[in-house]
Amino acid sequence: MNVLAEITNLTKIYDKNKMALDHMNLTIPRGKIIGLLGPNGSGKTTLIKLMNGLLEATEGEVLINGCRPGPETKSVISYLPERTYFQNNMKVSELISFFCDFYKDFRPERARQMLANLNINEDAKLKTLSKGTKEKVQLIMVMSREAQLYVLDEPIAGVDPAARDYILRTIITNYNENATVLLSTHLISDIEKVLDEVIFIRSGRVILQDTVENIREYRGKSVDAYFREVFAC
Amino acid sequence: MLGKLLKHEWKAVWKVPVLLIAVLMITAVLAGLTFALPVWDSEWVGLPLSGMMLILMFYFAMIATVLGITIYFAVRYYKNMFTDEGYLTHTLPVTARQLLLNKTITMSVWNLLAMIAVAASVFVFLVIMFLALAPKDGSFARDLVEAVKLWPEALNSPYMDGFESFCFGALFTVLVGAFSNTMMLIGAITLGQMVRKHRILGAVGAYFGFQIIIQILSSAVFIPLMIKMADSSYYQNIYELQTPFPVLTPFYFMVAGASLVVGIGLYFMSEYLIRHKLELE
Repeated sequence: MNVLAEITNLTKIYDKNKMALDHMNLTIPRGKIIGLLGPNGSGKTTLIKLMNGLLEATEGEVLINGCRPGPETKSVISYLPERTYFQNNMKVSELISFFCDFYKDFRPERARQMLANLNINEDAKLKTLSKGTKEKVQLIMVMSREAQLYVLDEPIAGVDPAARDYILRTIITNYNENATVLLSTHLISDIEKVLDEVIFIRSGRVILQDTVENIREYRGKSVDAYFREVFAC
Repeated sequence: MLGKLLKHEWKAVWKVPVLLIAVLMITAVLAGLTFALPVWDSEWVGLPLSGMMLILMFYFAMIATVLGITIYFAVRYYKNMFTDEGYLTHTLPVTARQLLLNKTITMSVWNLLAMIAVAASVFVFLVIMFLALAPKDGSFARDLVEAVKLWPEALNSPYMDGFESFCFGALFTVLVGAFSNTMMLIGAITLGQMVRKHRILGAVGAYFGFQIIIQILSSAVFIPLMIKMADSSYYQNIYELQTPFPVLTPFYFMVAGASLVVGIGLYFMSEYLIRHKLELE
């Protein structure tokens, strides 16, 4: 297996001894669309933040292409956080220029094409856009990179079904086949059709990593149904 | 990458401080122009009062410019580094040092520009005031030219002994002050992030904490130093000096040196915290 990311014994303890990740071990291969699935508070976002160098691990390590999170890994990861994170007073065109300057793998023509498809004016300031449109702009910027790893944290949460279809279509049509997409969500039925693999997380531990095909074939269930069974309250 | 960070930072920030400085300059001109108006001799108290209000407004504009620019950059630093915007800042393929240098350079330069703008506004105010109050026969301009001509000679007089070193010391202090004031803000905001649930309160607390520690340390260092210096032969004949410059200049350098040490210390503390203790919510 061609390994892209290796997570070893990764532990994160927040204040007051709240353990978000508990000695997690995980290997992320290249060229797959992987669903990072788990209930709220299972540690998905913490894992993603650690992979992006936005948190410091209490124990263990994350290696992307053999490197710890730093400028080298950030140049190959395209990350979409679960929140609106661009400066509100920037214009869309300024964002394109910003991404062009910092990410060598950014393709402005691809971004402009997607913006045009969605009738988003490049001269518009982000503060004048609706929350949904801002999220689309963020996704467009992230998916306009030719990254090795796309990390998308809850990209379809809080958007209408039509927008979900657009987002999933954007992900499938824009990612490089040698790249991996790590998609965190708990809206499984919407994304199941695009996934190659799934990782189930509970209480900061990986409880399953398997292909979607195996789950359907050997367990006789859809990923959504299996998820409901595993995480039944 | 530092060059690119600086380019985007300057493009994003220049409007607010330039607007504040422009307002300051306009109030300086208006306040100076009040002296050209026949309001001061008016029998109606409202007119001289309006003139005074304009001058007072200029005074407040000076404070507002320095304070406004400081607060603007402090808020921007906090938002860019530790709120949702930090998700973009800290996922750029740059080092923590480049991120911090970008902020430090930009904030220090604007801090310096704010001080220069205040000095320039006072100059503009005084020039307009003198021109307004000067006799209209041209004698003021002639006297001014004479005074400028006498300047080289004045510099050589014993009363100006040590003036060049004094000016250099003052300039050095201003430059270091722009950097150390910036680092005080950056250091306090960065340290405040360690108080995870009350980050802003932590930053404010850290700022006042730094001020208190620096006051205590500077008293502990400077008072014994001053006593020692007073005993030294250099200051034995202090009463025979004809100018204050030889006394003031060493103090300028001492204060600037101490500020520089504090600023550098705060820089490395901030870099360490961003590199090893970053925890975005």
